[in-house]
Amino acid sequence: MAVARNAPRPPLRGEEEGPGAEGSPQRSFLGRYARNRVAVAAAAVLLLIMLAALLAPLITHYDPNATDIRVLNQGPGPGHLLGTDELGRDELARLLYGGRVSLAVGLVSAAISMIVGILAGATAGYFGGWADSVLMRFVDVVISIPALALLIVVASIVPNGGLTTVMLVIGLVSWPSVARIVRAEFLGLRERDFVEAERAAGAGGSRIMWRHLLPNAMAPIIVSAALGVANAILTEAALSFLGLGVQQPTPSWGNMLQAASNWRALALYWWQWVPAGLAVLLTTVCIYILGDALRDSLDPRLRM
Amino acid sequence: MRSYVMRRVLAAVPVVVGITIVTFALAKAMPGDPFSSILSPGVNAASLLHMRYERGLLDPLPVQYYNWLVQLLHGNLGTSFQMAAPVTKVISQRIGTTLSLDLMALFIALLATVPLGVISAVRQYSVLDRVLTLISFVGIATPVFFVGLLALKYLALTWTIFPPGGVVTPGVTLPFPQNELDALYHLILPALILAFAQAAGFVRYLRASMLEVVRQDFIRTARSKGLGERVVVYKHALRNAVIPLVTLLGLSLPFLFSGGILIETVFTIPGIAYTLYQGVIARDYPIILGITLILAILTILGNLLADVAYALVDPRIRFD
Repeated sequence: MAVARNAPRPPLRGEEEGPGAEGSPQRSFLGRYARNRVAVAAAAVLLLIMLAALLAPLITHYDPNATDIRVLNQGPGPGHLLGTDELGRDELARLLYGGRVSLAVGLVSAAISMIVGILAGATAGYFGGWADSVLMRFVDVVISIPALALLIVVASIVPNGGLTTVMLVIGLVSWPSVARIVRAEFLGLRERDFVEAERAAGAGGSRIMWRHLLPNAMAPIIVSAALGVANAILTEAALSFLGLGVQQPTPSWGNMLQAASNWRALALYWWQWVPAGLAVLLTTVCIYILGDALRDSLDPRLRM
Repeated sequence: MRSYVMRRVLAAVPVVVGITIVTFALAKAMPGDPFSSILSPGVNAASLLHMRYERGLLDPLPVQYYNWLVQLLHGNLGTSFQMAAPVTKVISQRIGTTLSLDLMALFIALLATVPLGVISAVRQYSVLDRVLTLISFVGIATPVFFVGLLALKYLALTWTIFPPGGVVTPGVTLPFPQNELDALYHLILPALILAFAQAAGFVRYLRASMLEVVRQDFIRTARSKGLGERVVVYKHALRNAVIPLVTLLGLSLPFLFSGGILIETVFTIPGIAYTLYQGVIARDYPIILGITLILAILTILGNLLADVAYALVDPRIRFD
């Protein structure tokens, strides 16, 4: 290994990361191990958050929508562990039940954008030609409009019909980046020999697309699905904070954060909005760490 | 070089046309038109219909799109319901604030990215690298408005280090140099928060790019010539690793603008992004659409600039 004589510390060793390179096995092994440990911890925290949301009725006996005028804006204490909001509703109950809503919005919106994105990207990548041109120009247009601005416009046009609307709006605005990834994968894969062999054996377009190309493109798709869930949770939080997402009285982490748009609550009643923000933060950070680790283990070529 | 720039500009044209089509479609999807709020006893359904006909609202959609586009090219984006002023005027009055905030954020982000990205790559897998990685995950994954709210509460309300939003100290009129400094003082905290979210992604990217570059032969050559590690890293490796960052800078504009909408709202900064939020509250559709259109066109322009800058710093690009 080439080491510069006057280097005060071990120099950059890119070789360490190359495929099959054995540069410094212990160091890279330890590094990967530590990374995985973080990823394992992230997965555990994520599981805990999901369990807490699912088992909300077992954790708190409060109804998230029950108001109590005797305890308005009460701080955390023995009766209400995380205090109460301006209507005297229990904040812990709202946080747990709100978690159900935020996680559901994240998962369903991401699923919608994955399905549309995979269909569009696969069509564009496999067939090429005018289908590719039309779809990808549309994707270019949508991607160059700042996502939140587009979401605001769409959400302010669509009559808000509750959770389903929010999920559809987020899902249908965020598929273009998925389509780009899937298209790039399909473009590369469709020229490979095994596809040619399959075609020679008489397989039709849809069989090649879904049975052969899709499984080979799974690694980046899974990673972008994970990041898609995190982004959808962030988007729900932002939209609901602006008053365009999940509407009261249904609790969600996003509309709990809306409490902070009141100066009094912002300055004095931290328990009304800080826990919801931390819940979003913890969830999305864990998903990002998980997505990163997934990328490393699913496809080492994609390593960052 | 000139033909390269021309090609990039021509490639941007269909996207801009696409954006106008999408915006027009959204405008048509919005409920109501300028006449739907007229509730005068002298106006019956027939005369309303006549007014709509005269204004071209009953024309076929392609004709309406064409007329709308002509108006757009004349700088007419309609009239704000809420502010009773032309949308173009509202935007031109407020866009400066948004641009100074966003450019300040980008500048701070770049200033932080270069040393942090290099250190992260040079000391790959060190404690520092891992801490930076974790922080950048937090930066990418945190809702930017939540950081803004925390900063507002703790840095502006609890400890009054920064002003609690706005762009001017209320109730005082300052002479020239002080008023600019006052504005800067108001913008620095929101800009820092926007920069944090941007820099998080940039640092990850520069780190990966550095790790890629140091694997290449010319780095080995530089080392075997006996060059010092510092020269190899900062002169040979960094200069090549930083080039793709130019493209990333262009691509990150939509995220910057999205974050700007939330940050301007949290800090009540009267730029166009906050105006967009106010427009949503008031259901002021011409304002919502006009600002979205402007943000999209700024994004395209930014990408175009990034492409040209890329060709300037990397001559290989011009001959593809």
